[in-house]
Amino acid sequence: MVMARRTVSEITGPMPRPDAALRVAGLSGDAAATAARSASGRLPAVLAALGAVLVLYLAVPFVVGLASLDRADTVASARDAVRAGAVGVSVVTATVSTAIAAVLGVPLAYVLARGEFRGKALVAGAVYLPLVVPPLAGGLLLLTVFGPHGFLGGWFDARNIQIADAWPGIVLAQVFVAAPFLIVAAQVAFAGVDPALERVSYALGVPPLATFFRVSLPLAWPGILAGLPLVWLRALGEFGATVMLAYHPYSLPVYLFVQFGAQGLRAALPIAAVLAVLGIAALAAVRAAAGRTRW
Amino acid sequence: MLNVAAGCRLGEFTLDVMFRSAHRRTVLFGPSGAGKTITLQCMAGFLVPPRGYVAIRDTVLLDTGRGINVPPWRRRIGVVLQGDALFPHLDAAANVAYGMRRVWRGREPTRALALLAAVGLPGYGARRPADLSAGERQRVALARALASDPRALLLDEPFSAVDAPVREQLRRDLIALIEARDLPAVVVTHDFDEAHVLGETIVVLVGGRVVQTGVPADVAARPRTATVARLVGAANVLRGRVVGREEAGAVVRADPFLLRVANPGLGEDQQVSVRPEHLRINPAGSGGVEARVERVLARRAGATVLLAAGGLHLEAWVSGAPPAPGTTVDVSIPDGAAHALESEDEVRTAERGPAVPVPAAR
Repeated sequence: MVMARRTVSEITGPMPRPDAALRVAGLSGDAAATAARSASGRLPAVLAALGAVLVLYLAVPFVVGLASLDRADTVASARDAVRAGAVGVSVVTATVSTAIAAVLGVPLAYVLARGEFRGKALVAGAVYLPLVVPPLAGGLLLLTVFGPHGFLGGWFDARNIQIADAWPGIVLAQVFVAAPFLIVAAQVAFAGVDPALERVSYALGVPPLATFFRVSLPLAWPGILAGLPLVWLRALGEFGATVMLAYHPYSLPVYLFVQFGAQGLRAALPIAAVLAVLGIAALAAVRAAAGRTRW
Repeated sequence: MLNVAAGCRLGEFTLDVMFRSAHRRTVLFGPSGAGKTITLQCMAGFLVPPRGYVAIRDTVLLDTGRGINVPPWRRRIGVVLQGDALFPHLDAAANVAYGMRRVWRGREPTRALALLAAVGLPGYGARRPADLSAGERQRVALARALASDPRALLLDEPFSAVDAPVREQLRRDLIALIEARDLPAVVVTHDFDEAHVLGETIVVLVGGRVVQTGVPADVAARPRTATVARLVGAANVLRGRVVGREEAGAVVRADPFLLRVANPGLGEDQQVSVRPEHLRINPAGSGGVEARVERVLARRAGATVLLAAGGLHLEAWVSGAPPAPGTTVDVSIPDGAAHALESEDEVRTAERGPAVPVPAAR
C-alpha cells in the first residue's frame, strides 16, 4: 500500500473546484479515469545504477563464454560428456540427493519451525554446519566417516557396499552440501503457515500428523517447491565434497575439472554450457509447476 | 453447563481464572491482554495449564488433579477464530467438510452445502476463501465448526474484522444457531455491546483474573471495580469518603458532590461510578455543581459533553441540544445514580484461588 506523503492541498495550495482542477492537470473525461501510478515506481537513480553494475557482471560471462563456443565442438563435447556417463551420473545423483534431502529435510524443517524443545538451538545450528566449511573440507570430513578406513566405511566394506568412489558417495556428498538449502527454504515456508490453521484443524478432530499432510504441507508446498531447484542445482554443481569422497564415477563438475586439466578451456567450456542448460531447464520447470499451485 | 478453571504462567503474564456458567451463551469480556484468548485456548486444549479444570455439560475435558487431559482433536470443540482462519487452499465446501466424522463419509458434499445454506451462504460451495468477504468467511468458519458435530463452540473475537451492519446480522444468526442446536458457546470479546448482545452470562477478566461474573444488565448496572465500571461504559469514577451512614446506605462526599449510595463498603474511602447518561445538565444557576463545558462530541443520538467540575473531569450524555463549549452549566447526580465500587485490591485478594505457586505453562 502506498501512502501519499502530502495531501494535494498541501502541495498545490487551496483546491480549485474539481472540474477546474482536472483542466489544470490536463485531464478531462476518460483521461481522468486512467490508472494511478504508484509513487514507489520512481526509484532513486543511484540504487538502480548500483544494481545495474551487478546485473551486468553476472550476465556478461554467460554471454561471452557461450558466444565463444564453437557449435560443432560443443555438440561433440556434450556427446563425449554423455558417453563418459557424466551427464547421467549428475542428473540421477542430483535428483536422488534432492529427494533424500526433501524426505528427511521437510520433516526436520517443520520440527524446527513449530517445535519447542530443549536443544532446539543446537539442532538449528547443526543444520548450518555444512555451510561453515568449504565443500572440500566437508568432503574431507565425510571421508573420515565413509572413507575405506572411516568410522562407518569399514562396516559397509565388510558387507561389500561401496560408498567412496561410487554412486552412493556422490549422493552423500551432494546431500551434505545441498540439504541445508532445502531445510532453510522449507523452514521459511512452514513459518509462513499460520499456526492458527493447524489449531483449527486439531479442533476439527484431525490429529497432528494428518494435520501436517492436510494443512501445513500443502500450504508450505509452494515455498518448498521454489527451493527445490536451488537444492537440485546445488547438488548438480557439487564439486568440492564430491571430488574428495567420490572422484569416480565422474559427475559433470568432476568431469569438467578433469577435461580442463587435460585439454584446457576449449574442451571444458562446452561442459559448462551443458551445466547451464540443465540449470535453466530446472528453474523453468519449477516455475511452470509453481504457477499451477497458486490459490 | 460450563465449568472452567485454569492457572498458568506465560512469561510475565499469570492467568488464574475460575468461572462457571449455567447458560448456553457465555461471554469472556475484558480489555486486551486480560487473558481471554489464553483461557479459550486452555478450553480448546491448545494450551495445557499446569493447574486446570474444564468441563462442558457432564464431560470433563481437563482435570489436572486427576490427570485427565483430552487432546484437542478429541475434545469435539468447534472454534471460530479472530480474522481469517479458513484453509486458504480449500474451497468453502471443502473447508466445511474438512472435519466431518466418519458417519458422514460419502455424503460430505451434500452436508457441507446444507451447512453453508444454514449459515446463510447457499450456493457458495465452490468459492475460495480469498473470494469471500470478511463476514462470509466467518460464516464459513462457523459452518465448518458445526460440521464436526461439536459439543461446544468457542469463538474468539469472531466478528471484529466485519463491517458493523454485517456484524449485527452475524450476531443474531449466531444466537439463532446456538439456540436451535442447544450448543453451549463461549464468545471472547472486548466490546461490551457485543458482550451484552451475545452473553447470557458475562465473565469479566482483568489482568488474568475473573473480576466479576453475572448477567450483562447486572454487570452494566453494578460493576464491581473502577476498571470494570470503565469497561462497561460507566465512565465517571469518583473517589470519595463516607461522611454519614444511613439504613439504606451511606452519604459519600466526592468533592464537589455529595452522593447517596446503596451498599457502600465498610471503610472510610469509597469509590463510586456514575454512568454518563445519568448525569443531569441544567442551565447555570439552577442549583447543583457548577461545571465548565470543555468539549462536545457528537453521538449517534445526541452528544457527549465533557465537563470540568472542581478538579473532576466528567462525561455526560445528552439527547437534546448540547450546551456550547466554554459555557458554564450546573451538574447534578440524582439519588441512585451513584454506584458503590469495591477497591481493586479487595477483589483481587477475594478472587485469588488457593495460594499455590503457579508453574509455567507447558
